[in-house]
Amino acid sequence: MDILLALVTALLVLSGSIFAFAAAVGLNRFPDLYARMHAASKAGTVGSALMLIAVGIHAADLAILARSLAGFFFFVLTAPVSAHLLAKASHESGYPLSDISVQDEMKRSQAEI
Amino acid sequence: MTAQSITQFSVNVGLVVVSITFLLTVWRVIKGPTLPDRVIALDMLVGIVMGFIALIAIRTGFTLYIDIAISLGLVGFLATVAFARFILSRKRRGGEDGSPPEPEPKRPAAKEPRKAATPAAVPVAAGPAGAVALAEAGQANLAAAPKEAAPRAPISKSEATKASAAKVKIAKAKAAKKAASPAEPAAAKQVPKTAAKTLSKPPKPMVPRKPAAKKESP
Amino acid sequence: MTTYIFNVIFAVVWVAITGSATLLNLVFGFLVSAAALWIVRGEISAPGYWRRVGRILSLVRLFFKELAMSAFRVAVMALSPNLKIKPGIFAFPLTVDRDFEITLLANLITLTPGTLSVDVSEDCKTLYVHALDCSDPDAARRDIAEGFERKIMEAFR
Repeated sequence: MDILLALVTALLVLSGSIFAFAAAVGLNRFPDLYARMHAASKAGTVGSALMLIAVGIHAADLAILARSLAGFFFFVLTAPVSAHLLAKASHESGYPLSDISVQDEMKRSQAEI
Repeated sequence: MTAQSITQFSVNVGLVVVSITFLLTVWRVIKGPTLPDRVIALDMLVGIVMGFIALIAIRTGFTLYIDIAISLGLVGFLATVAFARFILSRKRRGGEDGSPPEPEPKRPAAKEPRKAATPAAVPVAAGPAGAVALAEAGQANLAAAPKEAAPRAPISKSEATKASAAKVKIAKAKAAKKAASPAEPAAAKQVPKTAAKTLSKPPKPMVPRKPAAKKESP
Repeated sequence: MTTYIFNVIFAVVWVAITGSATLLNLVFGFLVSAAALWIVRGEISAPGYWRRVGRILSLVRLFFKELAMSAFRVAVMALSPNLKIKPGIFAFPLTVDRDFEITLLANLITLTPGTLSVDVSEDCKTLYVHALDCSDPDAARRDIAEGFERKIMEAFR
């Protein structure tokens, strides 16, 4: 039982840290603001959330698990909101997409108005 | 015993990987060509620190750290929302200064000198001078992609030399001259010299700073 | 909808009063409050209450599945040696029209593979979505319309 718990904890910790690492690599490699937001808001969020759950499972206590799950839900539900706000703010203040972007229907519709 | 060693091993590996992640993200904060880039990286730093706290909670056994992680997540979320408001409001003020119907031509004009600096000088300015160089010579050292900058940002050779000279004095690194000088002809090659007049506003903050830097250097 | 909010509030109050913040106690408080609300069902009249719980749970399950998939795909994309992405913003015509549903849909879109909601138009009819792979925007539009939007309509209509 102990070994099972330890294995689950180890799996969560390692996969969480690898997700966070991939997010940081994406943050440095992606060409523009909006693509970087993908990396930070998805892979980064999932990485830290997995590590939070690992604490709850490692403790093997329902109260602590409930608390870590509360933190998990809070973090997962707020990350898209902040990413969306940032994307909206930076698009509205005119930061352009990178040159390799295929299309920008939002800009076109604003120009028509 | 083995269960404990498995946990310890995974937590140690996780700490190493998360540390590398942290450094990579800090690199984006320093380098990030625009303000939103830095805000994204800061937002992700909060997440990484939450991961750190979780790992330390496993390692030490103090599960009270979870509450700290949750409250840190709250603060980080509020900070990101506040930064988004700030980005929006900064644009609005820029629109009020110029002509309200056309804020578009103003922003690219303000951004062009950022891309003018030579990419070779970036590690120099970011390395020794750190945050100071970021704050003071921020307009100069943020060359994102030279390919991208070439068609969009025409700049004369004198502008490039001014920018790099001011930066060298701020950083007080002699190596920067060596790094910057071979790249200047490249910048000059791409650019028609007649375009110097189009950049009226951006160099102004650099010019008054130049004599001040001269006073310091001897 | 208000019934659910009341149910959750009652469960939280139950946990606060009993003073033991465990998951089990929260679930028990949820059941107790659901029973209490069931007694007064004639007053608040919520037809298909339990049927909807199943649909909301399936929405939650879909959410976590998509979250895991999207994180995995972005991670693979970031770590792959040659970066071939075609980012772009496409417009998505909204069928749902209530503010709550639009918010939920925008959040879910942000957590699907390779898409990130950027803005809603003034009249709340169009959602602008940034996609990492925008080579085929019609397929992406169809995916969202047949996946999340349909689920949301099922759960809250």
